[in-house]
Amino acid sequence: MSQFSTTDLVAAAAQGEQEAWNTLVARYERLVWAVVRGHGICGTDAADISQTAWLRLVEHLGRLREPEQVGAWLAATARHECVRWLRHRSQERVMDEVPDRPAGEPDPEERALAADEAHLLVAALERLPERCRILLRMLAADPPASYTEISAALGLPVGSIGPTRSRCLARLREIASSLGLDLDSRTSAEGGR
Amino acid sequence: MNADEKLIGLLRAALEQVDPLPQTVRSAARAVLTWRTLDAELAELVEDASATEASTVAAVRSSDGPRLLTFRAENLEVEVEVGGDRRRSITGQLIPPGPASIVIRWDGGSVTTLADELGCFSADDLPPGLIRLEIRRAGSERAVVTSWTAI
Repeated sequence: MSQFSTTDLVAAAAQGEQEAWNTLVARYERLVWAVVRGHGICGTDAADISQTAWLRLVEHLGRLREPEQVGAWLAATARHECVRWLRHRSQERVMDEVPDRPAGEPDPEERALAADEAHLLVAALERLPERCRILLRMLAADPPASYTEISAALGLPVGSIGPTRSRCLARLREIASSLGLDLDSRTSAEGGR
Repeated sequence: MNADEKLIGLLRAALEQVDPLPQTVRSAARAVLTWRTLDAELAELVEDASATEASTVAAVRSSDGPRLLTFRAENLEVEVEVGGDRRRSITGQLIPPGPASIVIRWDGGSVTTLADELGCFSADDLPPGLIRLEIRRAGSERAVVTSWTAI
């Protein structure tokens, strides 16, 4: 059903067609996941929030004003659910909060633990500010999120996504470099993969 | 492909390796289509606050006040206070008040309770996680269901 337009899929899913729904899920599951993980939420909490975002869509399937923008709708909904969850968590667990390490100061053990490059690159990603984590995870999703969808997840105008993307990638390079990961040779215009 | 696009490509591969989408998350997203309730009016979650915060605006934010959820449909508002620790309990109020039969559903179970003449209802021993209330008021043909909400 992947050849159908998003609007067709939303309409079919609203009629209860599971296959259409599965195609929508395949199209946007990584987008929702990128928003949730970008907020620094993990494990069963992340799974619950993802499920809640999809449930919100089920509840609204027949009433979306712009069904072709369902990706942006899901991105905004996932963000909303993350913010709501983080607010309650901060109320419940104020006492046992462990402060994060300041960004850019690697734990001495981290080099040994994260032996391979993938771990180092993700470790560098996790040190970025929340806005950059969400934006880069959405761009790295499969399929990549559109600027409209990223705009919905961040609450930023579409026009500012490009410049923010450049700043976040530059910062990612810096942090990766400070962790000992050489990205320049991997991503230069001639070399790399 | 420029350097930025290559870096995003590397990041995609790294995330796929280190932090992939769990299969359980995919299954859960697929499964929720069957959770929809047809022919019912949706009462959306419009407020999610700690009860102390909601009742006394100037009060210092409490870290242990029970949660107060407010759901709103066109002609019905449902206020639900959530308490309890490992098992949850709820007490609720229908506005406007009136008797109703209320089915509380969660993934894999449900329990039925009644709202009294004053629109008050309660239920104990609920599992933590997502729940939804299906409310059938006396003299009203169409049920009202709340958004699925984690308690």
